[in-house]
Amino acid sequence: MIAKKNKKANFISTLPKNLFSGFVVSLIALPLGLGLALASEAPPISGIIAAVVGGVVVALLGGSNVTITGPGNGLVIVLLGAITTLGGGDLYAGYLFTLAAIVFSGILMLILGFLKMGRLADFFPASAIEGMLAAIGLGILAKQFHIMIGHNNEHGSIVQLLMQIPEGLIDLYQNFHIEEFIAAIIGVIALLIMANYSKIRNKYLHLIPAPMWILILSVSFSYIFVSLDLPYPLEDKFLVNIPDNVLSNLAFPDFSKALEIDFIMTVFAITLIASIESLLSIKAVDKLDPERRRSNVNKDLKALGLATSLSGLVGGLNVVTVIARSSVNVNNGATNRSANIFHALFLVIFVLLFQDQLRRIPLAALAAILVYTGYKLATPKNLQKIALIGKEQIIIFLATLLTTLFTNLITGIAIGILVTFIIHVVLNRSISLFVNHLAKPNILMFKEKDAGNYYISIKYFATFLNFYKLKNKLDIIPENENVILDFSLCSFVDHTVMEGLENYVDTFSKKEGSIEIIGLDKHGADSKHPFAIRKLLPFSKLGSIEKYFTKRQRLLKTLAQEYKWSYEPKRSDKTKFLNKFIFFKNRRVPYFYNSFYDDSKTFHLFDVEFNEGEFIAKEIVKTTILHIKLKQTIPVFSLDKEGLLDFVYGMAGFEDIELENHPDFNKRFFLSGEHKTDIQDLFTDELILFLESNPYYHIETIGNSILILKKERLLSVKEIKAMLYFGKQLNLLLSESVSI
Amino acid sequence: MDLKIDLLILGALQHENKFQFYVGSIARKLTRKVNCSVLLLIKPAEKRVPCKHVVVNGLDAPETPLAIEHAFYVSNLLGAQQITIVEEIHTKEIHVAVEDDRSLKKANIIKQRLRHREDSRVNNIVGVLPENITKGIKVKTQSIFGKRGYSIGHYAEVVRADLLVMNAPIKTSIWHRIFPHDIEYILSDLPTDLLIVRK
Repeated sequence: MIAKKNKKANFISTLPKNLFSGFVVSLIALPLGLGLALASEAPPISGIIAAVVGGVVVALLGGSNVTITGPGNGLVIVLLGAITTLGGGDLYAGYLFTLAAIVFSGILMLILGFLKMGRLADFFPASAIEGMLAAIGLGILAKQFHIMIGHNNEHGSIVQLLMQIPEGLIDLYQNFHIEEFIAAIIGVIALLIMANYSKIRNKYLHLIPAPMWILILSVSFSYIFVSLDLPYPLEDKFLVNIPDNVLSNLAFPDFSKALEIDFIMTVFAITLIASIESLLSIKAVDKLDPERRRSNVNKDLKALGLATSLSGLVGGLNVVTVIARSSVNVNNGATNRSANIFHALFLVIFVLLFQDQLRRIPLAALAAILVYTGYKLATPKNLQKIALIGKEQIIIFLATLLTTLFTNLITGIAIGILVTFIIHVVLNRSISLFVNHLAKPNILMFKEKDAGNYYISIKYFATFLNFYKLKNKLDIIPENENVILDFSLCSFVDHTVMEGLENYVDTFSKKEGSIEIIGLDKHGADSKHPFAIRKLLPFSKLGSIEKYFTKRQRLLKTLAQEYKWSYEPKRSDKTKFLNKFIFFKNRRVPYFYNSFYDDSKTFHLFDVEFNEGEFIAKEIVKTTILHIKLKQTIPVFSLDKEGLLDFVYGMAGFEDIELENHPDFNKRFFLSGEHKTDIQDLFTDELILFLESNPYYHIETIGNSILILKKERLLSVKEIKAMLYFGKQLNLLLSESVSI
Repeated sequence: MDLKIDLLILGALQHENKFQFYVGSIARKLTRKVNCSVLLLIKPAEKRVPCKHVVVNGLDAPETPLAIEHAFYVSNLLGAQQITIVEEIHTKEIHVAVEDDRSLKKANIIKQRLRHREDSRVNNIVGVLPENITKGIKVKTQSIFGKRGYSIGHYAEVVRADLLVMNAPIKTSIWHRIFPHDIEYILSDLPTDLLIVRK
């Protein structure tokens, strides 16, 4: 009973946080919702309907915690295909038929949920999924690029549209048309904003997400004309079209094609892609969740299915779990599903209050947002990354990508699976390894009596075909346990499994458990397995970087010589000591490099690289960190600059600690921690003066060590020197303060 | 014809291929057909390899006490130092599907309870055995949640057991090879020497 009360109190106390993050997410969801719907050739409002219905239904019935639901990137291509083919040229009729398909696909997803098919996404090879995502990205990019430069009427297949891009650019010159030209300028500026937003480090700028900036700027641009009493130079066909009364103009599905083969194929395609995108996103968001909760994927799948059907019934697109918006949600401090509801409510408010402004949004601006999204999905970097894993992965990736581009998604992914399997057979020179053992159980798991850890042994082979069996076992182990995974009886392990395991290793180590993989060493040496497995284990692959020193690295090396410290440019994966810091609670640090330390390793300065988000919304952040080992233990605290975004980093549930007689410090800094009085005692006048008179750093301790960082980017050598000095002084002051 | 055979000793291939699996090799065929205990040797050697570790099944079945008794008897004769009794528990007995943190916790509590139950059941069986065959042998129990018959075979392979002692299977036909269960897994992929105990 007390637990229940606590829960309730906790829920209410976190409401403001969730309200705020719901608001920020809605700022992104609005342009994306409109844009994704337009990209599918559906009325813009249908994307918003999907987000609203999804936000409410999934938040109420779903099984995940901090996910955001709405229209998804992955579906654009499928829906676009459905709307154009089912309608036979008539887009609106096609839209109504597609709505019916969406309703059915929702029912299918509901059934998948009841059948506990949350495992569905596990049956696809990782590189094939990457290939599919790249194809989706190209598809979005190909179509939207033309709209971005003011050409609204380009049609054709993805490949044709891509080929027409140079032509379109030339056409902009040759057949000069003022409206198209203005649209193109808006589009290009919007694209530049999207591309450079993350590079500009300004706190106030980042209060509003880039897509919303684009809407605000382009709408205010139209108001300039209003104030000058000039006619707006863009016709209606270049602007977003929203019905006068949203509620009375809802579209309803047309079920008259429900038995045709095209229709049925569409239903399957929508269900497949929607499920894969949702399941992948849910898994990725679970990793971002600061509280490390485990989502109930089957429950979520049911809720998504229901939401999709309801959304289809009132004219909305599919509802899927979306990674980009979810990760924004997490980064803005959401703690539970109420953020999803708030995001939906804010969308309703926007649509009802700002109808007039929404009609002033140029299509080119929305298209630019989508071009950027598409580019991020199809960035050549993905191919590069895959190429590093192995040549055979390139074949899988390209086979999936090209088949998808020239046929459709379902064929594409099917070919991807087939090619992967054939490659596995060829690499092993044996089909019987797979055929004989596929149906058999191949995993043994038991809890060792004496040591209390779990032991898992895998026999025969472990690939995407039977990875779910291993996952089933791993999923029923609490993450704070120690696991030994033994591959010594297993003769073949593929990339999908290695990548999947890496995720588990990460989750376990974050929750104080561990997974140790053993028995793979001999695989690399064994000539029977040309698929050099050891290569696939990340980090050992990362080669020597000394050969190609950058200027910064050379300077760091000289700096190290000056200080008589050691400099080690190589990457190291021993990042476990960082996990305890709040800053890294929901950030995954694969390795650190360029490390720089004194003899006793008291001071350790290094660069880290970490990802925020996964697959669709991957953002890589690099930063320089100073880690100081303390001789004595001090109270745990974190210190930040006072401002709007503080609670992003602040400790959950702890408020700003005020220090007596130091109003200026209280105003400028956000200090938080559990043991208030201890912390107040720690902060002597001298220490406060020191902090006030030096530039701002993010400082946090875990008792026996301190972490100092300045910005979410790498620091220059000059800044590093300043940071080192700051760290040394701070260390001195802290030790004095404790000894007093 | 009744020859009153007590034990049949056969040499057998360690792995069966698909053809042999369905059609049946002689050793397996005999194993399935005969009415006495069978010892399958996968690596018969002229020089005797010492038998150090015996694994025996501890299923909750009426034949189990006999199998365990035989395991101790044989271990005593061969001078094995350790016997591990493996209790295979059906995952179905947990009754809770792990879907989130809450069900995970619940499932683990139930598992712990099942482990205790199985351990005490097996300990009771060992307790009533005559002391002259249990003396000097280290007894370990290990509970495994997983496919029956499969897990123990894999376990015997992992711990490098020298002999695996199993209950006799109920009559098996081609049908059971298409949908394999219990001892069929072990027969298709012998982890070590195998003693099947029949009355």
